[in-house]
Amino acid sequence: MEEQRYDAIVIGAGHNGMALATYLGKSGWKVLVLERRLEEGGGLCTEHYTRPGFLHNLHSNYHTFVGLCPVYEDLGLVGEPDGVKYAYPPVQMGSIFEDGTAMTIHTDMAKTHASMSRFSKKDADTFQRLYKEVKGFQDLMISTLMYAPPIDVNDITKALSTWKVEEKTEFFRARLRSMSINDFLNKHFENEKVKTMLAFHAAVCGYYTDLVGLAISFPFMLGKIDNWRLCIGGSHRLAHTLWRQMRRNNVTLRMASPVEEIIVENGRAVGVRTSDGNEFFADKLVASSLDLDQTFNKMLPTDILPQNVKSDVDAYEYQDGTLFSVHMAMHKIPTYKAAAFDPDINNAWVLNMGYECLEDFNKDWKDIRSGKVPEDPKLNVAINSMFDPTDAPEGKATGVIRVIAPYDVDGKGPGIWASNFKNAYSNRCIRKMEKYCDNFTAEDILQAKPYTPLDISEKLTNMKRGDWMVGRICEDNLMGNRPTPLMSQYKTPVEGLYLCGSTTHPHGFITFGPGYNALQVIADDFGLDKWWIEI
Amino acid sequence: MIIKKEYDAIVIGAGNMGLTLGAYLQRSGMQTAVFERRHEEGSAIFTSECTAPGFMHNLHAQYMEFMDWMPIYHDFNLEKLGARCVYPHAQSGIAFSDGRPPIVIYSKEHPENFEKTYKSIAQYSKHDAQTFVDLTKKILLMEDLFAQMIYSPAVQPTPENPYADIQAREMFTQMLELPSFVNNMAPPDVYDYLFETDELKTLLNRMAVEWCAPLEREGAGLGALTIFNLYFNWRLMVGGTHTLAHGMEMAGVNEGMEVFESSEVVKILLDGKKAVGIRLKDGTEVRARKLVASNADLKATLLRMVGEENLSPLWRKRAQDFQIGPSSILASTALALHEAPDYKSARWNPDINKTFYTVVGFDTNKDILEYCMDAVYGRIPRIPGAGTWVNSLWDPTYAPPGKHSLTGWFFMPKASTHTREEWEEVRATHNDKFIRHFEKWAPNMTWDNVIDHYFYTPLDQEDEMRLMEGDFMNGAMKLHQLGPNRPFPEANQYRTEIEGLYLCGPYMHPGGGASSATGYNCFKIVAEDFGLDKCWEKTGRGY
Amino acid sequence: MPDIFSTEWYDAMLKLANSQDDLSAKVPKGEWRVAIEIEGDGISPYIPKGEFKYFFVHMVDGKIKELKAFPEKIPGKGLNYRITGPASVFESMAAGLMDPIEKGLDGTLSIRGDMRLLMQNADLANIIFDVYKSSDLTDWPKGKPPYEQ
Repeated sequence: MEEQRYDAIVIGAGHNGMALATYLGKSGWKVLVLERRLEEGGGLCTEHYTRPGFLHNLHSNYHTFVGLCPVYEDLGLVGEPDGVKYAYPPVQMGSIFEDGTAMTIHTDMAKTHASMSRFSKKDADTFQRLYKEVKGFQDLMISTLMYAPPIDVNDITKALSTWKVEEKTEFFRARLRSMSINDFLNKHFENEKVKTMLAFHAAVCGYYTDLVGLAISFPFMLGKIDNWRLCIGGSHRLAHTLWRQMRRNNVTLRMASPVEEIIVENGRAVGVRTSDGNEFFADKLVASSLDLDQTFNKMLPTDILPQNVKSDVDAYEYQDGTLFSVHMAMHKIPTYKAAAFDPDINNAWVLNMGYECLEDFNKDWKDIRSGKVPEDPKLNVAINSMFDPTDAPEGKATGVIRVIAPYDVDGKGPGIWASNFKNAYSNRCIRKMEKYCDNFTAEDILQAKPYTPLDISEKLTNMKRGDWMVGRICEDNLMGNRPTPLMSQYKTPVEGLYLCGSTTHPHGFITFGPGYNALQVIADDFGLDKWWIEI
Repeated sequence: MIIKKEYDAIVIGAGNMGLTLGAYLQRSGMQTAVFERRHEEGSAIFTSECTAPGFMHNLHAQYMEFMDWMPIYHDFNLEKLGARCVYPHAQSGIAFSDGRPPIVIYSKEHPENFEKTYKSIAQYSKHDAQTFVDLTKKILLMEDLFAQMIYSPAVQPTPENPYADIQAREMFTQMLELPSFVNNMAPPDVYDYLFETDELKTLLNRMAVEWCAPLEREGAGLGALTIFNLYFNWRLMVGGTHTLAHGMEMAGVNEGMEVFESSEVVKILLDGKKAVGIRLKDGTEVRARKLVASNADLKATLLRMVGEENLSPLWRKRAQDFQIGPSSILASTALALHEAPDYKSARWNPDINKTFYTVVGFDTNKDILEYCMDAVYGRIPRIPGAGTWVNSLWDPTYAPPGKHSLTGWFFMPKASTHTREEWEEVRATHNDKFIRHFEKWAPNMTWDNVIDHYFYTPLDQEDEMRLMEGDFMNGAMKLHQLGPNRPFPEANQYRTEIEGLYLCGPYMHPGGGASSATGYNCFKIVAEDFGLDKCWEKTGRGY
Repeated sequence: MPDIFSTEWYDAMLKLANSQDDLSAKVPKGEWRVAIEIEGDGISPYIPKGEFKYFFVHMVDGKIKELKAFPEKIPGKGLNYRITGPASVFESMAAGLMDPIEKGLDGTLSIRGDMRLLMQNADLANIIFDVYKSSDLTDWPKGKPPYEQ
């Protein structure tokens, strides 16, 4: 017989839900995690999408918080006994430009500086100063602005002025709040290609370069431009390791268990009912790691939400665009014509092929907002096998091309992504990539299989409209405004119901932030000993 | 991944056999590590979202026939670890292209089900219906006996009794009140001997191949009947067969076992004639204080990981001679559907539209025989028929709301009979042949009903799981490789000539499938060798 | 005037802080535990290179209850903040020559703990630093910053 009673029930076994459950389990609670799908991990999803032996990360590919996020250490996700192993590519990313030049970002700052200097010595120096400055307060900021429940941005601005931070730093300004990433780049840099490289980094992180207000996050983002890591054996390994740690802390994970309803008694969330008719009860709390729509509109009894909250939920905004991917099983690892200019480009992990200037990004943002698929795709290419030989058969390679693309196309909804258009667009992407390569054409691909914006939302229903950030990245949906000011502290109007998913601060991506922060609030509410905090 | 340099026991391969052995060893107090080449545990206990998002397909293991007996399922309470089952009412059946009545065989769950099975067959022949039901009841009475055979090492011939296994077969034949010569028959001969209805034989022959009584094989006659014991016990894993693998891994993890995926073992380290550890592909060496057990395929284990040079001439020859295929070679098809198939035959009995294993594409016994012979002799079968299942009919989590996922098995020739390019050609064309064929049995099964599709070749299975040749038993179930002769007489007790090296893959007795049996049996031998607690003796189940 | 890092110096520090009414008024109610770790950096004459001085500040409802040296690293459990940095920097701050905020921003001073509370009470930090750099409180028997390097 299955147990029906728990201390806490977590809905959704994405990385945030699982992390929260593991902490609570380690604190001695009896915890049940319910997952709709067969596999745990949500976006930590690795499949033999093309052919057997070729491992494709269908969602999360870049893990940039290893070493910065406390959860890895707290829950023993890396290291002994059977934690994940990360590859740390020495050449982290690069841009290949049409004129045959290329720029590379390295884990070795001196090399990054040298690469940028070939385009602009002044910009290379500026970047180095910026990077150094950010590194100084990075730990402090990450622990405050990501791994703690959010405070009001005005409090932060006030502190900056009280401490006269403006006089003491070159780049960190309260007025970044009224600037876009473009503005920031134009203010501090002169060379268009340097700006493009840095803007590309922001775009891959899901930050749109033309949105006013996002410049405030940009310096921190640059501080970890050299912290991109690849999970050996695929991103799903991290999820699986997390599951093992959950089990070791006596957390129960129930797969293939879509939650149909959150049971509310006397205004309090007391349990859930799954689609197979089972009911499970939680003595202390229910935490949902799902998006607002599923949590509030699909799972809660109607009329339980106050009208103002309901309208906030219904008006919740998602990212303008999402990703169109082409997953490739390849006969070889590509090399690039631009290696004649900078040989390191052949060893770079995350590659920009197509963005030449800031205006190129602006054009894409404009297209995407008007529901147009970019005519000339700008590619983000990664060949993981260069750093993880286990992800492809001997002598072969696994790679992905990604393009930022809209979910709804031409005002007709996402239907086009289910049509043959996806194959045509996939071919267009491959042809674009061919232009940059000196040894690689479509002939070298054993199989290329598109993965569309529609696929994202159908596979992971949490990512509404294909939005892997699970909520727009813009000033009024970050920090204390995310997902709404009322719910920014991981609590909802329903007593005993908490939020712990990417729809809350900080956002999507493999940060563990939402789960970790919800934990802090829960620990305060229930007087848990915060064993994980060692100052 | 940082690997502690020493364990008591190292298991190579996290398939269901290896995970089972690992869990029992760890529970017995041996610090155990399992090393898996793939990124995920479970090997063929494998569920794939290979057609379209939200459509789940069990490309390998599908029918869970051992759930009532499988020791690990009960000893470790795998249900609580997420491996939940449903028990479909209509277990197997066959439909016909001219809309003749289907034959449907029902589960043993309710006594009145035998009546339903009887009625279904009786539409064609009362004699056959009676024979089938009577025989089935006799076979089901022996269930515990079969379980004991499966979950115990093979009976060893002794000097006093060199023919123990042959005697056992004779005994079964007598218990079924059949003449001794049935033992020497091939499966189609047995069905010809017992039944008169072509429709029933068509179904039974198709199932016999699937459940390892190859049609061409004389001497598989008794096996063609004893497998009936499985036909009434099929369960479906909720969410996907893979949940069973999840449960098995977590059972071991609960006990303290450690698991390392994406960690291919390339060498078994020897100290003289003793196995003392392993080397991974990346060069990491890990020591085993007591034993190494391999779940990897037999030839790879002995000829490559141990190394030919470290085997005696006899063992080298035995390993080289070990036969894989040509029966039990499967290819899988997967279809994401708008609607489940609606068979012409359903007008006689709507249950055929909700039958767990449906044979489609064969109207006569001759079709089946021709189809199987094609595969056995290295040809792509001309008839694109299959054994199919639509799991979303019982468990809605197998497909998005209102949609259905169909998966099916084709028999195919050994992977090595065709080149990689030829298999690509089969991949590109066979589903189309299948759909065009299917439409004659179920008019709604046109390409318009297909959202997306996938085809999985025998070579894919070799690539994916190292199921060599695409043989899901990873070693032919031929008479000379069964019972005390599996994989060969000198290795039939899961021990090897290398001290401390054990074998626990599906090439051992009783063979493959999601039974966990070779892992469990290997554990019994290890327990004996190392004086571990014989926990199975306390269960009262007899094995 | 007491020598820097002497017991008397800590006591004087405590008295001075507790006499500041605006400090007592601004500290949020409740208990605060802070560990300070000062590392000998070969520049400061007061702490040998590579050695540490640890001291512990315990505030209750706006008053410093304890301010004392510790023989070893203070365990992290139950602490609110831990501030770590080179001795010459701490001394330069005490002498009013270096700005703690600046040193925090450039990473010379490592501050661990929940910065949100500090941000929400930003002027409190300024007041504490003002107490710390009351240079008339301190004697410098082995010389005073800025040091020759």
